[in-house]
Amino acid sequence: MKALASALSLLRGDPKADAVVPPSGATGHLTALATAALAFLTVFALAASLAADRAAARWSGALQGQSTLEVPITAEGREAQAARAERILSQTPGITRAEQLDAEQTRALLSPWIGDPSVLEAIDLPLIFALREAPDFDPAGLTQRLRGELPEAIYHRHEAWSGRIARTAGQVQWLAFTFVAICFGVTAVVVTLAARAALAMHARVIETLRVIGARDTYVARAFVRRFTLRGLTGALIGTALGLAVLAALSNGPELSALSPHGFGEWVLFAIIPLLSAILSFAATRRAAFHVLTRLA
Amino acid sequence: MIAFDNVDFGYGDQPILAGVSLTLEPGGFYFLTGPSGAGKTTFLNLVTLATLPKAGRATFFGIDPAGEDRDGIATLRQRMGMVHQNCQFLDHLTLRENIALPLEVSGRRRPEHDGDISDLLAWVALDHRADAHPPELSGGERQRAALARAVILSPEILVADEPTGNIDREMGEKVLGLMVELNRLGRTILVATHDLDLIRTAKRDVSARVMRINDRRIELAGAEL
Repeated sequence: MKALASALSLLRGDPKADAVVPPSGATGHLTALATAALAFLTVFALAASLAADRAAARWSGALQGQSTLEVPITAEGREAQAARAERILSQTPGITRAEQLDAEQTRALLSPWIGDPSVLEAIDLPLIFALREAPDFDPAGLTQRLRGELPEAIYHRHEAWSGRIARTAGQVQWLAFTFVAICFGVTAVVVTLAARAALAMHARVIETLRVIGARDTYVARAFVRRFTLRGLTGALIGTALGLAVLAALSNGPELSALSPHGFGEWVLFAIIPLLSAILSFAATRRAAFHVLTRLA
Repeated sequence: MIAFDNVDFGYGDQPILAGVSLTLEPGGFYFLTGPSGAGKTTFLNLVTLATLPKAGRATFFGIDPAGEDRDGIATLRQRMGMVHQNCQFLDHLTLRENIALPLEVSGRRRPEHDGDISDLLAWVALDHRADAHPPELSGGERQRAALARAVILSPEILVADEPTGNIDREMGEKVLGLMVELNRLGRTILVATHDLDLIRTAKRDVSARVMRINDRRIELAGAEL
């Protein structure tokens, strides 16, 4: 509570107290510029993280409860194998739907993998059944029955793929989050260095203030408020520019996945300038008190 | 008011002051003299809490700063006025704003203080320079301005380090005259100087005690002054 009161007191500002520290000139502008650039990059890292999360959810959802039964044609013949497969599937509890793909659908499915259409014409296409499974479906039971009654059949569970996709998307998401964290970390470092430079530049001012009885909080306040506002201003500009570019990208097909979906995601981007301001506040306060406590 | 009991101070392994025991009484006028490098400024730093003793005990207005945090020490400093040889001002502020600075930093600035600041400027004969910036002031004007700033909070003690070191004799005597006036108003004055003529001049007007730093110790000066 005391820390919050102190933070609010520092941010509230006092024009006369602020005027005690002379303007820092280029240092201040460069701090805002660096913060803006980092916020701009953070927007894209956060957008990538959200896009990866959406993709993982979409792909996992799409593949959930789905599987494929592939039956390579043997000497028994297509019709006999199809009838046997249909019987097994219809008798298996938990299979809610089993749809055999026709030749055209099978070719369409395989053509990306085979490439040359003439090859597809030349080979005996396997039977493909698209299956829908109830949540209580027992895949091990079906596998066991197929091994006994239709041993040439290959059963593909899509959940195995969806798990990999989800893991990959999760890794992309963490990578993006790491990038976001690095951007915020660099923001804190940049502000700390700028604040220390300003404190060193105004060492004589600080010394004079100490001589006349100024408390550390009074001396720190002008620096902290100044750098917090610079961090906030820079981050607001960078975030606004980043969002504008994202909005422009959403009109094109290639990178439209990056654009935020829904009010909640747009609001999430408002955290960037807020967090940058908090980091600027904390970094400057720490730097200021670090310098001040080294003085008598 | 300020009491030192067997106080030692040094930088690293280099002792500067040893076994300092003295008391600065309320309303007293003290001179501290000694050759350059003897430790006059170090002693003033101890008196103004810019540094703390390495050993021994010091109390300020009855308070031991060893038990105070940094804010507590800053509050003690607000009860003192300090005039340095090289007066430090904030060059981007006007003289009036610089003199008001102690009021600002202590949170005591009120609109009615504007009149007090004008009175102070008139007292040090700088009322016509109120809107000037410190780099525009002469050495004597800076000393007088520093004196005005040092007394704005009505400190209980005024500490001056070579206040006449950078100004001519006439201006030095003016600054000294202002300090004598303050002493007559009951303020304690401590002046570090190597200018024995200045001490003799002051002793004509006030009952000043002269301390001398000799071999890291502070002793009362003899009658040769």
